Amino acid sequence: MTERANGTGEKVRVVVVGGGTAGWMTAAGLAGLLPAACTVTLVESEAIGIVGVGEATLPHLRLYLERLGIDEAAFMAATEATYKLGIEFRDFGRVGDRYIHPFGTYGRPLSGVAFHHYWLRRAQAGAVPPIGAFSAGVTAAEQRRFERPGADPNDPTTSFGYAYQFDATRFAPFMRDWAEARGVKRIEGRIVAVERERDTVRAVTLDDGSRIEGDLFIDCSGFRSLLLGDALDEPWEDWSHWLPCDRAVAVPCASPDGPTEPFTRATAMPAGWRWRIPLRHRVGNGYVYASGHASDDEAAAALLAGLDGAALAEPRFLRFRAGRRRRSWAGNVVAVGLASGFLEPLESTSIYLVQAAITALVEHFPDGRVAAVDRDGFNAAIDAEYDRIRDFLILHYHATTRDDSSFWNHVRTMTIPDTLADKLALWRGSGQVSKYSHGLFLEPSWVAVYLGQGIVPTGWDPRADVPEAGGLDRALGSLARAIGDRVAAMPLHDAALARLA
Amino acid sequence: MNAREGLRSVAVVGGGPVALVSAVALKQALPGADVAVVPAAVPDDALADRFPLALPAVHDVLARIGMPPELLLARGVARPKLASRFDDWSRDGAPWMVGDDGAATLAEGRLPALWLRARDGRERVPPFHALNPGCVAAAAGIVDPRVEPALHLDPVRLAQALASIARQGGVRFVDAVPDADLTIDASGRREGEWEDWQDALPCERVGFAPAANDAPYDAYRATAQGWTAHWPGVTVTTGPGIAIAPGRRTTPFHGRMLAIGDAAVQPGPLGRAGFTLALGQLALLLELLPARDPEPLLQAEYNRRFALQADRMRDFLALHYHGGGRTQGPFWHRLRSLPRPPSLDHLLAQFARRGQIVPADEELVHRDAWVAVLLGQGMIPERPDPVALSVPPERAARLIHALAARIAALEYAA
Repeated sequence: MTERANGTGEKVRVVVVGGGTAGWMTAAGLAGLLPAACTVTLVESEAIGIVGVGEATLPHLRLYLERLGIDEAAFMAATEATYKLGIEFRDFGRVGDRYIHPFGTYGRPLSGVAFHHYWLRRAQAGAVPPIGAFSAGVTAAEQRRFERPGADPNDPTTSFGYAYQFDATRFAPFMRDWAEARGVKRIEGRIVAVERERDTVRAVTLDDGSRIEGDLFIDCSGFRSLLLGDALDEPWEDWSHWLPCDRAVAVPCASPDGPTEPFTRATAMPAGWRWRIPLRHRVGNGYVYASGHASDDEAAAALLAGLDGAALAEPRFLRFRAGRRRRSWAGNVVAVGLASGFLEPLESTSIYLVQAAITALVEHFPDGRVAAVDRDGFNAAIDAEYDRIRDFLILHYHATTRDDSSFWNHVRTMTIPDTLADKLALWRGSGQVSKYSHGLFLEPSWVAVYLGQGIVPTGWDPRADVPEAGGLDRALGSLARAIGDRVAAMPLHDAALARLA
Repeated sequence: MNAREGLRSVAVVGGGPVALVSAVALKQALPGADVAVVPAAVPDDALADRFPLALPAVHDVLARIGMPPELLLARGVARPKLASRFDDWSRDGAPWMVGDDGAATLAEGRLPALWLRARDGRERVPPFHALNPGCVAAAAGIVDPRVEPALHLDPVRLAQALASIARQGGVRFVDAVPDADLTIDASGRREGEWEDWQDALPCERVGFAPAANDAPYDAYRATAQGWTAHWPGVTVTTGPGIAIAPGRRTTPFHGRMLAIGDAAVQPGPLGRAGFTLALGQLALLLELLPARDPEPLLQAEYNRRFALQADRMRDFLALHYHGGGRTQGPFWHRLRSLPRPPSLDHLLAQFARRGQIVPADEELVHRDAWVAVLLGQGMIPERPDPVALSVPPERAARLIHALAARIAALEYAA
């Protein structure tokens, strides 16, 4: 336990170190939600760039914006945002495959049995369209249409989730304006020294000699992990044996003619995968690769060769390692974002992890002193998030038949975590998804990736065999038609975006 | 071809509502299968069968087999139970209540946080249970249709109704246990390897005496030696009576045998949670319906989720003993020296800090009930909720008083 210098009853002095997406989201979150509990100072240096490639988000971001009372249209305009209904995966299970992992469910349960069991039965007979036809989100994505979901969660024609694709280099400034208007103090400067007593950071010193004291330090310094990693030396838990990609090269390009996709695309590549994120004013692209399987030059060349518009900048390289600090909160330092760990953005989880850390910090916010119970409660919540996302990402690599490169041979044959092996075995044998109700990626997400990458169970719930085939096919057909009709009446994504402007 | 063939035959052993509800649900799920019930005497300590109560979280299991709460209430099979009341069970001796449905809500923030914030002012604040419509209605002896009640089920009428549905649906009643693809042990008898909950739920003996209780709530009173409770039709006292051994089976589903109800988990008499747990297990079984041949992975998944469900209920019930309320009397004094499950320690530590309830999967109890049990016993978090700090105590007190007044006048949304 560490006593706070200025005793209880006063506001906690929070110092956020680093001003990228994580830093400004955290500063805004604390200033917006805990104005009576803390003061927030953010230290950043304009000389240090931000990673800012987290351009694709998950629907949870909407809750963050809503909770802070941020207007969606203003946010979308400021960040050149488009709507996002899911992620299209190409060439993952095998070259030529494609599927969309939507934000939402497939069909609806029948007689208490999940929809996918019935689908599995009739798909084996070749009698039904791909499972995406039973998702309004997938269907709308395929047709480049968008409309806000309906209110009834049990209506499969209007229930789906959505998120945003935006320019991350504009999101941080947007949140900065919002946070500064609510009292966050910004200090320009580079940190040259960290003053600490055991695991308690007392102050940071900037390059101009000024000293900034605080009670709670939020490390948003990105990969450098200036406080948690460098100053407190929190051990690193390495996951690169499961997630070997350790580099990325990113380049924006001009938007091609034609409709703007309301989805992100992830295309498997010989040594990793590439992203394509359509924004309003450009398209974000990047190749995430394993340096042991492709050189920087090869990766850049492959990225540039695949652009569908003129490159708008020089390719930018990033280095990272999959894994995390053992604890995200140690002493009076809480790491948020890349300073706490890194999981590649294959499922757009970077900003989600920032948001999850902010939510957990608000729930375990130290008042007066940092107690072990604050730290442990926070760390338990974050552990669960990291572990679940990790397994879900590994699935995308492991569930493949690709044998066309050393990279895919490695990930296809590697030993996976027991937690994932158990989930896969349960699915293969019974069509059941190992369930949890708190955290990211619930049953429909697992079903999407399993089926999308060719992991088809040998058996399904025997109750799905009960309905007579003809009647079942008619019911499934009319459900797919109802979704198709409903989606056909939605405006095109570009029209929905134009309406915002 | 489906590699998983459906069950052809199910045998259900047991003579109480747990066996019958299991048989009916499985027959409806598998109309083509032979489902046979082998009646057996209900043991004295099979409390799920003897004193069935269904919390709102498991009503949909009953509804799925054609027994929605409205029907059970209309037919006199069930009576509404809105809350539980606890006397002499808190630090300062003040009575408290726990609703089976949720508390009211305020747009200004989390209700417990605002209630605690209001206490920071100098004004007197209504008790937390005054913010729960179910508690207020129950205390007034009113059954308010806007509150979803727990169902106090008459075991005899319930068994009759279930047996009638079972017969109509083609369930057979037989004398000897037949060979079956799956045998469900709903006998209430304890077999196999168990995890002991005596420290978490210290209740070794309990006596039952008929009594003319008919309030729409269960009333508990702590005594030096334990507690006494008035449930509809019966008064329950810890001490001389039947032996109870709280605990759960480590692997209730193994091979072709699945234990359910008291044969799988014995949560003790406090809160009479046994039947709710049985229905929770039944919901799990219906979700993970096994195939004809034993599937170890599916069984492991069932057992994993069963354990989460049972242990979470254990922790909720254990809060009544270990939640920092009454300390007087040998029974309560002894509690301090008993070890607690780590999950309960974690939960209590997080609540003690700032009133958060650590969430968990397979939850059968309303979040507001967890809070009510702890606040009721007098466990006041040491730190305020940081979000609620933005609401001045005077304003929080006004909001809480106004809400309590609206609820007292029975003015609240369904």
